[in-house]
Amino acid sequence: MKKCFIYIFLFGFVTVNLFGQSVRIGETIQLTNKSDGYFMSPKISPDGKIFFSSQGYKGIFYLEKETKRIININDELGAGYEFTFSPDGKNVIYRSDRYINGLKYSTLKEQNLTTKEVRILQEESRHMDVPQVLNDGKIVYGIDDRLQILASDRVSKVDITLLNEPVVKAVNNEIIIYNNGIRRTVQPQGERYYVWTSLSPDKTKLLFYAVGKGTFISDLNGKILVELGDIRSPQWSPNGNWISYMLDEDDGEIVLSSDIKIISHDGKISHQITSTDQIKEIYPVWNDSNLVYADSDGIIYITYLIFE
Amino acid sequence: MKFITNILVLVFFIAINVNSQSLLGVKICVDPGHGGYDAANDRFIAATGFWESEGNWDKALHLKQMLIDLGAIVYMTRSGNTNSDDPGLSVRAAVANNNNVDIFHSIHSNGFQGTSNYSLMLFKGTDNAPANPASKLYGERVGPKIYAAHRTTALYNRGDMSFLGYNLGVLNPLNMQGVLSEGSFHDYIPESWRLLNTYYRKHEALAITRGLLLHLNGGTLQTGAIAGIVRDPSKTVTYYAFPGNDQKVPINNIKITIQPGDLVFNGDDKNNGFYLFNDLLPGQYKVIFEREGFFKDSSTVSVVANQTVFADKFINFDTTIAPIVDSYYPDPSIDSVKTSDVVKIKFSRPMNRATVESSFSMNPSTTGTFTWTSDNMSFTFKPDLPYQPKQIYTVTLTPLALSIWNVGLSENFSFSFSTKFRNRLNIENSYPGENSIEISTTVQIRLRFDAPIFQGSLAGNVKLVDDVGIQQTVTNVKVTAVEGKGFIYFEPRYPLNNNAIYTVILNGKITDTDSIPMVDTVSINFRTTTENYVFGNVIDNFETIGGWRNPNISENSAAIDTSISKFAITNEKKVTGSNSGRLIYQFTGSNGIAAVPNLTKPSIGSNTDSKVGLWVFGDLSMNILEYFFADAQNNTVAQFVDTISWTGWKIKYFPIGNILLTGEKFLTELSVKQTNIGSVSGTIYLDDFQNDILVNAKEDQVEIPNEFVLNQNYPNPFNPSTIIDWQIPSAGFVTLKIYDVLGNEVATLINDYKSAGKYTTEFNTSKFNLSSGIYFYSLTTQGKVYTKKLLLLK
Repeated sequence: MKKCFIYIFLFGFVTVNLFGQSVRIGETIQLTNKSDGYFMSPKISPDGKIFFSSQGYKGIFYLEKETKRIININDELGAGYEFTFSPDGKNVIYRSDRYINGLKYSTLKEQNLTTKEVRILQEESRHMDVPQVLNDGKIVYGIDDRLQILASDRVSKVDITLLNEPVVKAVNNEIIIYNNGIRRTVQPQGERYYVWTSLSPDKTKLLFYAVGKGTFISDLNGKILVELGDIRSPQWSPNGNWISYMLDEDDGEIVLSSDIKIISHDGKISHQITSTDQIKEIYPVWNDSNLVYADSDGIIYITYLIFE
Repeated sequence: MKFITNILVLVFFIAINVNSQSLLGVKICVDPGHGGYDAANDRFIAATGFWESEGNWDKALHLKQMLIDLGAIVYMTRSGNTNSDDPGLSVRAAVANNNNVDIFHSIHSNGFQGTSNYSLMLFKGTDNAPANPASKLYGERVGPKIYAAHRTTALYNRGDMSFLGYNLGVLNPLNMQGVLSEGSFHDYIPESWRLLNTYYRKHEALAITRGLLLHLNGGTLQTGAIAGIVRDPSKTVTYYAFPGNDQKVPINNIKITIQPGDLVFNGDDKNNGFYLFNDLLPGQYKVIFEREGFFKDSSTVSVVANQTVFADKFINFDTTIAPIVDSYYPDPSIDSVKTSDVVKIKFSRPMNRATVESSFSMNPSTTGTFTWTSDNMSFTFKPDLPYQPKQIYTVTLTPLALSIWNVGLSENFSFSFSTKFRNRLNIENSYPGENSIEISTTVQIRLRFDAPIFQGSLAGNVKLVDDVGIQQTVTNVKVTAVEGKGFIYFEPRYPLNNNAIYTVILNGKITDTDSIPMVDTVSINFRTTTENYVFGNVIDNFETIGGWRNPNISENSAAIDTSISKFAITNEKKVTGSNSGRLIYQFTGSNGIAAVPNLTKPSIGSNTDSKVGLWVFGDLSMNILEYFFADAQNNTVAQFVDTISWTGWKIKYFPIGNILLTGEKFLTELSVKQTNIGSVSGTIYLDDFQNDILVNAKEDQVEIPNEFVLNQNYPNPFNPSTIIDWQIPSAGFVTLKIYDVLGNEVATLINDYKSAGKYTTEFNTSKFNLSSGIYFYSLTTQGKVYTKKLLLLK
């Protein structure tokens, strides 16, 4: 565990009017220091803790709010990629990867954040995709592109007729939507890769990035509602009004610049959250109404936004 | 027996299984680095036309097919090689992450100053602390395969942080093992040429496939490959190459056959000489190399499974084959050839220069010089003079043209072409014209040609010399082209002498932009002004703007573009001081006037004998120069001064008494008035406006050798009589008159029709009541006036 240095490097507020609602861009705080290690891929637990991983998605860490210390949860390879939480925020659910003869194998695990006790939810398998935890505690994930639904008891598996909310996965060249017991596929922008796919907080709209086309919002039938342009790693705000994203530019080998922006869900208004020449901010996530993100040097930040 | 049979079947099955290869069910993301044709980040090599984005894409396509054939599931991060299909690095990583692939491979080639060619595998992290150890392990396995395929100078497997000092953008977000491979260097020119060969790219894809099979425990390929480079040992490349085989020229369009199987590989024309046969069963093969004009050759190689065996080859010219003409120029299909053009011929083999030149002929007969390439395979014939216009020329080479191995052409070779109508650059007009007189000593010489001038041909070929051949330095040289015509303007750097003969010499080597020369040297003689001028009282020296204003505020201005027509003080030209006034004008109609008002209206006095005028640097526009005057009652008149038919500085004056106003007079405006034949635009300069110009005398007037002659009188000074010799080349009406310094006629010596010839006329002052002083005698005939000065001393 390391004591974290905290820097506040932006004071004062910039106010922006959006949707008749003012957005004040508050202070930005550096949550980790370069000497603490290289951190990336921040996530926010339901109870507001800031989690992140280290280089190569190795291990899971969180920032202890009271002590400002960085707490290491585990050191497992791949654990830091798209890990998630139980609805009560007491457990983290993640994949742990291993390479056997060059092939990637994953084990689905749940770890208690207090006791650090680890429970295996799915034995080591090939082609296991990222887990999602539903509101009722079910855990869904894919193995060989087949949806697995783990009941809230974490033991029994159920079929899609018992899903109480829509689930979306992007596989190969299509988006798969499981809803009302039915599996449907849509290709809102034709046959192409779809990444950074997610449902709106009210589960009525789809946010996705179509490679070669950009980011869109569609309904659950794939009908395009809003075209947002070439914005990367889009993330819904908890209230669904906003989408955060990164604006990264590269020369084919290195990232030349990257900043964080937000855009209204109708695509009409966007606002620059960071604008730094030396710092390349990447992969923002929402922490309530604030934004947490890393930079290319492995430092984690939070920028406060005040919606009035 | 059945048991034994089963055992044998089982053994056979196991053997097949052990040796077979498969990537069934393995998910692989192939990332062709870069994308499209953006010079800023898609790595273009101008010397070869190589785009890294294109090479990476082609390698990836080959790799994708090989991996699919092995049962793998392949994800490509882009679907083509266009600017619109060039995903960001974060998007490429997201494709791999989202599809949960086992391994990621980003394909690149490298570049650094054109003098390196090693293979480099990069994984995320540092050398000793990779972010994912499997990535480093994969680099250790695939690197040697690529290194072996491209036969580069070295191999490195490094962490990006250690090697580059930063994380590669595409590796950083990856959630699986992955490397970025820089197979070889695309700016090392021999390698750049090879990377243009799709089979060379395929060979790298094959190497990556072997590496993936090794890393993923997918077995080994049951087949092997033969590859190599075919070169000409007699030729050395002209670009930088490492010592060794790369310094020899690769052979294009090579045909290679392997036996057994009679498989044929046809090489490309991209200067790499590379060939590849893959999917060959292990065993011994004969490789046969063929290229028209070369001796057929072969090698024997043993193919080993899962490997490439190299069979490079040097093949030699077939010296027994008769040379042929591979290509020639001018192309007969071209409608007409420039008369300045050259003949070019390229042979299939090195030639004996002397035999070719002696067997070469042109009809009509044409002399010229031969220039050969260092390989003795092609020459250029440049005629000494331009071809005749509108003429068909036939070029012939006989069988006496021999290769360096003394084998001649098998038959006569000839071709014909026709030439264009022009074979000379012609001067159409000049200022000054030939034998013109009264030219400003600061003349701007203007030459117009019938075609745009090639500026590079002017150096040393345009001269201005005085009457004893001393070259005058010139300045403000301008070479322009307008509507298909060529123009040269220049000025003497220092004022020329008064009343002196100068010659513009245009050497025949001056060419137009089609390299057509003048051929003949042209000389243009002119004589400078004879006017002697003594400064009067300077009223305005044009050093400052004073009361002068732009033409747009004058009521007399008409039909001008006011955005262009401007008056300003400038240091571009001057008679005295540092500056002069400059009027730029542009007429928009047919009766334009660009009038420059002077709001201070300087007085010129009221002395009617006084002469008023100013220096004007003319623009040869043939428009009219006018001065505007006013009297004390503000009555105004426009006074015609002259048609602007000169360049350089000239003083333009007249007696104040000519102004049809009474009393004290004031200068109110200067103007340029458009004429029917005048230019619609131009620029004149003005300096030193003055009155009381005291002397306006002419002396030593024109004498043009071999034409009209008015000799200096003798004796001179004289009293009371003197002799004037003169001659005219053709008959005409002649007057010979005497004037005083004020221009008043004081005597008429001849007023008669005279035949051509030499004449002597006496001027005896006793018949006239003349006082001592300078007088002028002036011969007028056939529209020309010749004047000289004489001095009477009593």
